[in-house]
Amino acid sequence: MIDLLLALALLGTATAVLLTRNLYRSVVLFIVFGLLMALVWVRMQAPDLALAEAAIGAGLTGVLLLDALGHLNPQKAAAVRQKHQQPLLSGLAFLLALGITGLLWLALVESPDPGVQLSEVVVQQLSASGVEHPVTAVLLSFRAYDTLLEVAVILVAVVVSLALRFSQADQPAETQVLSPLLHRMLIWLLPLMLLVSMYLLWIGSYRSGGAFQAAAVLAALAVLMRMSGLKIPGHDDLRVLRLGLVLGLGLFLLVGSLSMISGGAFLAWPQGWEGSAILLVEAGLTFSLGALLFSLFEASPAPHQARLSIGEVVRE
Amino acid sequence: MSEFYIYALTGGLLSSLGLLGFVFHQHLLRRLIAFNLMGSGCFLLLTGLSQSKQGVDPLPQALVLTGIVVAVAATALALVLIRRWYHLTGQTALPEDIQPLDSQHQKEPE
Repeated sequence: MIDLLLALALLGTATAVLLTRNLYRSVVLFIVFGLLMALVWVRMQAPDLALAEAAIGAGLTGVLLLDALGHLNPQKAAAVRQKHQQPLLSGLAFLLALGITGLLWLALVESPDPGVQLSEVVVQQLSASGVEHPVTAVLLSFRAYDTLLEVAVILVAVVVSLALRFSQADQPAETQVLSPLLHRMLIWLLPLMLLVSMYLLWIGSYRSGGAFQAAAVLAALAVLMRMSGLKIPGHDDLRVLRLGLVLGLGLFLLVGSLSMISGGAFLAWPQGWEGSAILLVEAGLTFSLGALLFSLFEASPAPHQARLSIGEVVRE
Repeated sequence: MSEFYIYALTGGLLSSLGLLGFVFHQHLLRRLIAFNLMGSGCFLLLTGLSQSKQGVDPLPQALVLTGIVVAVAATALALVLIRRWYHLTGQTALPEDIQPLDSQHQKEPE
């Protein structure tokens, strides 16, 4: 019953996100959708995903979207009228979506039984992975290759964002909220968030939690500090930024190739040291992913229109 | 019908809703949001379908966890591109989707 209600709420919110005329309302409803998704993950017995969705899907994405919304001047965009949809194209698009829905439902109803029970294999091999939490074991032991490439993908996205940002010759975005209340609150909140982040990293080996959730909290902390105008240590130094961004990936590659010296496979953790190796890599990943996610927020170009001069690089 | 199956069906519906929104909206920010809805639908479908067959399954959960992080990185990159586009042209939609009121209003790319 509760699942049915939650599913209906999810669909209702998604429809409202798409149909509402006000763009601001659409963004806020999308944040609500993210929170509902976090609840759904709890119902799906996936607390790791609930943590990540609440921090990243609802929190960080929401901040990014609201930030972008504030900088897209609605008056200027209103100078052009949107083209009316051609009825033929709209009809085709509708049919396409309907067809995909139909195919998806058909696949759901007629889904074949998988021959291999992968969840049982995971449980059987869990003791060999060095950690006790199955999701962490899959992420950093059984499918470590996926995680490695994922970090590389995020690094590329950040590098492109930063390159676009630095090619623009204007002042960094003014996104400060000067509120004494926020400042007082942050004094209590910041150490607590740091503690939560480290806790999530540590318990990742035997319970829900891990590098991704810890990194999300870390990034949220940095975004809060940035918005309230607090100084972030090492923020002005470009070398620290570069080092921080590649630290996780570098450590991952380094520790992953250690066992190749003694003839092992790539990303097979050193024998007897699996748990420690995973924790080390996760610590590096937490710091790096936090810096990466924060850089995505930082890379947002300045709000006001500025003249672009090629060849001039602004360093913050 | 298990609760996981309900969420798999919801995920299927969400994906098509997102696809519809992605096609019909012209504002780039709304397209991005619709695309994110589509992604969430895919995550639900992936986890729900697997878990309705064999109970709680850490494998799709780990995959979706990486998916969520990659999704936010892609969203942030798209936002940077959208803002760059707005910065250069003053518009929030692609040229195929807009027609100027008159030719004077159309800004030259700087």
